Amino acid sequence: MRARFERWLFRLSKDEAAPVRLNYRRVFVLPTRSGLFWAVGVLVMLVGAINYNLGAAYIFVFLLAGVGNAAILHTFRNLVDLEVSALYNEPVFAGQLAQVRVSLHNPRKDARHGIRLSLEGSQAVAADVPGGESCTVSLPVPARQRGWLVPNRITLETHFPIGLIRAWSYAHPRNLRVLVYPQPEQPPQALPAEQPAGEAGGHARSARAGDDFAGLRPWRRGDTPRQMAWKAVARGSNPVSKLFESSGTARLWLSWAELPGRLDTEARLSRLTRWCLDAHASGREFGLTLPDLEIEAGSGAQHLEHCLRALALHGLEGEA
Amino acid sequence: MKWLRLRTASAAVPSEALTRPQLGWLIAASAAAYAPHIGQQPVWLLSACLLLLGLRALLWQQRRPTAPRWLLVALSVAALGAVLIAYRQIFGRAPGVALVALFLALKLNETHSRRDAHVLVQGALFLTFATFLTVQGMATTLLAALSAWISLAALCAATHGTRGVRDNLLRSGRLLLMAIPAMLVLFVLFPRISAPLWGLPLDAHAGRSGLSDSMAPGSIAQLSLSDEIAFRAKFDDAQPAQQDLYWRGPVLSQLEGNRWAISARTRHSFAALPYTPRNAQARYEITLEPHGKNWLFALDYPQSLPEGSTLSADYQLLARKAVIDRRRYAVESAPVPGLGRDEPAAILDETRALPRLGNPRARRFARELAARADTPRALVASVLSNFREQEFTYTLEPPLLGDDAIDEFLFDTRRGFCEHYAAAFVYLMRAAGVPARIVTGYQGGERNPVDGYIVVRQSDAHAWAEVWYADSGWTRIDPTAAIQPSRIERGLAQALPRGEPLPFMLRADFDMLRALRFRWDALANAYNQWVIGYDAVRQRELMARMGMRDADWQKLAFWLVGLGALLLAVYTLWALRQHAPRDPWLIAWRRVTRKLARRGLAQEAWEGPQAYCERVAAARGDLAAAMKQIAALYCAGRYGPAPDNTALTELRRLARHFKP
Repeated sequence: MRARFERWLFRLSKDEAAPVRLNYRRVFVLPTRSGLFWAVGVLVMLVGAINYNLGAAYIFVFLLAGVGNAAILHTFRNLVDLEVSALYNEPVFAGQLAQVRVSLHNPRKDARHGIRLSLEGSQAVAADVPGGESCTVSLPVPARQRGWLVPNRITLETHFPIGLIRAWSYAHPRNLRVLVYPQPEQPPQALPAEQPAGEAGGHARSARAGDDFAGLRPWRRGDTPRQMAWKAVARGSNPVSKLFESSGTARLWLSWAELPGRLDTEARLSRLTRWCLDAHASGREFGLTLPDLEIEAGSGAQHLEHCLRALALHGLEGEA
Repeated sequence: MKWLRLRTASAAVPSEALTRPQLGWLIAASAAAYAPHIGQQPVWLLSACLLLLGLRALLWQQRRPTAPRWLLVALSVAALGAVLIAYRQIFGRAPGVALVALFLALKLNETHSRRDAHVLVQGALFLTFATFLTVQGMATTLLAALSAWISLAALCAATHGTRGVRDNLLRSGRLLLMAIPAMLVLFVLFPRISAPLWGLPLDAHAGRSGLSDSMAPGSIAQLSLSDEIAFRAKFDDAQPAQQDLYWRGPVLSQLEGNRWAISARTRHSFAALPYTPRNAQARYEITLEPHGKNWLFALDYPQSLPEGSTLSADYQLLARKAVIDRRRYAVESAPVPGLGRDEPAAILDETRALPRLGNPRARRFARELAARADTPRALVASVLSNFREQEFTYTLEPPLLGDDAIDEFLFDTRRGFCEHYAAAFVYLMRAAGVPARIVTGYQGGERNPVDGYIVVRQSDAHAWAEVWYADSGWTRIDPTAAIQPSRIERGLAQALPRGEPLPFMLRADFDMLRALRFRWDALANAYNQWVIGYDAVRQRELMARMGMRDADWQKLAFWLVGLGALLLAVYTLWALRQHAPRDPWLIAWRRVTRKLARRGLAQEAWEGPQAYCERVAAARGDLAAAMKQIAALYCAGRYGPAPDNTALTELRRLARHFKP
């Protein structure tokens, strides 16, 4: 009930089209504790002015009341019509601190100051946005579980200029999420033994890279420095990579099915993650089999990313 | 809550603990709050506060920590004790202000967090407000506004720590400027209550200078040295001639030794006019400075009694309560021929009475004159011509007189001020058996050409005489006019010999200064009339002038709410005002992206125009060609060197005709 009320009142919705503009209907304004204190002070002074019938004191009291009123508008103006959008976030491993990056754009000519952003359960970060410009804010969120970490909503808040008034708004722009890989197993287990080529049936056709030099091709993202044809580069040509042909040598298969039966799903994913990292670090080729997915053997950063993503999203329906 | 520092370039890092510049602002705000109190509060109090303030400023300047807690506790106890000793209580206005002043200085010495900053600024504002309990002048109000400005700048600094001095002053100044319309609306329309809620404390007004209820030789001359303002008068229509402006004050009928005093007999007063009212010849409004007595001043004779006033048996206008606040009242005056013809015998006896002994020469002289004159009128004429013919000098510095002051003045020194002439004249009349009395008050006044107000100062204090004729009652005789007509026609400054000590304000040497003074005085008067003196009556008058009849609090509240809402609407429009992007290339590009967004192909925040173009081309093959052209034009125009106008026109045309 309360959640529904809040959704209605604060116009909360998920995955709003970015950029989310904080229009006047979704910016809320209330006095802070200091603001309430200010109002009480003004009332006490007003009683004094009335009691002693002091014209000049009336002027002073009404001036302070006017300042409180002006503060409401200044604080409101500091937040209203700000544009919020989510940026691409680097994946992290579960247990690490994820950085959720948000872009603030100020379409107005004058700068905005002291905008505090926070996610539920995270610490607030303050930012200034110069007039007509954008700025990027990183919000630290602890990543506890693998999968997509989707923060509930961003709270944008400001007390500027004199701290008597709090203006705030909520936003959940599209793509506000971080991919969280499973936590690598600790302590690391030794990699499984390599299998000779041709074994394990279908795995053989994944042979794409091996030890025998087979020629050159243009460099692609994901090729390791070891693959680079440095001599060719030194001659001044475009970066090229050496192409190797596998000649039935051993390769590494990281298989879900071959893990000990006593491990549960998360433990298996955790171990496979560790192995992917270790295999990548040692520069070896590796393939990955999951119950519903098989990734051909390969190497390079892109391959690793591909594998980790599959591990992160394993068994989570509807996510890709 | 703790705040994190992050790599984002623009991230401000507010923290709860105040930084050194923020503390500097708070010290400045406290100092500004004490400024208007200088000269108003006792010296010991101000010195104690300044010492504490100085201590904090010194520690701040040397980057040292605040004073230890035990010391502050001890000082707080001492402050409480000092207030108790000085005022014998801690409740009441004066001790209350003293406590606020002391504790503000103590609080400044233990201000560390942002919350402390808010408490301190509130305290500073409260202390500033307290100034108005003692003084309300225009200068004080300006000082208070300055103090509020610095306090607000301190709040700006405490809320957003990374800004410079100028920025904080500008921003708080803008807040103050934006507060002014709301302040004016509230000030004009907030319903005023005529009576205080629970009465003024006894120490609300201390004694001030002015006429007193008795007169000895030299007392008015003394008063004439002051250029303090006694009251201001504003005439509705034509102003009477300068020599007719006799502002009647206390009437002195009793002589004891050399001292003339108010008679107890004429002190009984009438709640209604003791004569038939006539058509007014002068209508005017008087704004009387507080003088602590219950005298009101009016021209002879009032034709109506202002609210809360009575008329004494010697026709002086009296307030029911002592005038301890600046007071404004409207009076109409007209001569009343034959007034006092039926005066009771007791009053006539009293105004003929002289002490049994003293001034033998004057008595003999009066009897001689009376023997030669057939009527009292002839007697008056011969006394006045005697003043004119003998070598009498009008001076502010008469020689000191002994016991037979009248004799010495009339026959030896012949130098005196108005009270000498009036006293001598009345003495001679009484010695000859003609009822006579002294009237004190003010004569003349200076018209301010800027606002048309007549300013009457203490230096306009004057004493003249009244003589009773059986056929026409009390008649005003001004012996000073006989000796020095210019005093009455053109004022004191013109009448005195050169070199006499004149109040600064009366010196005619500097015309430019005088013009400046007129302006300043008109400004101060406008402020007094419309700010300090804006009470329930003034409010009703103003509302009536603006077309609101019988303004009661409901009508006022209605207008207050209405105008307040209007003001709020204007401000909200300001708050929502946007500046559209000025770059024409961007405007044209946005036109395209908006159209695409409606088809579900919005440009993402991280997407450059080229990447976006590729994505659109991939999703919608039919748009690929047009989109590529648009993106190329846009990129060249916005990011390339020296874009040209034909390209812009082309981009605009494409954007207009682009139909996804």
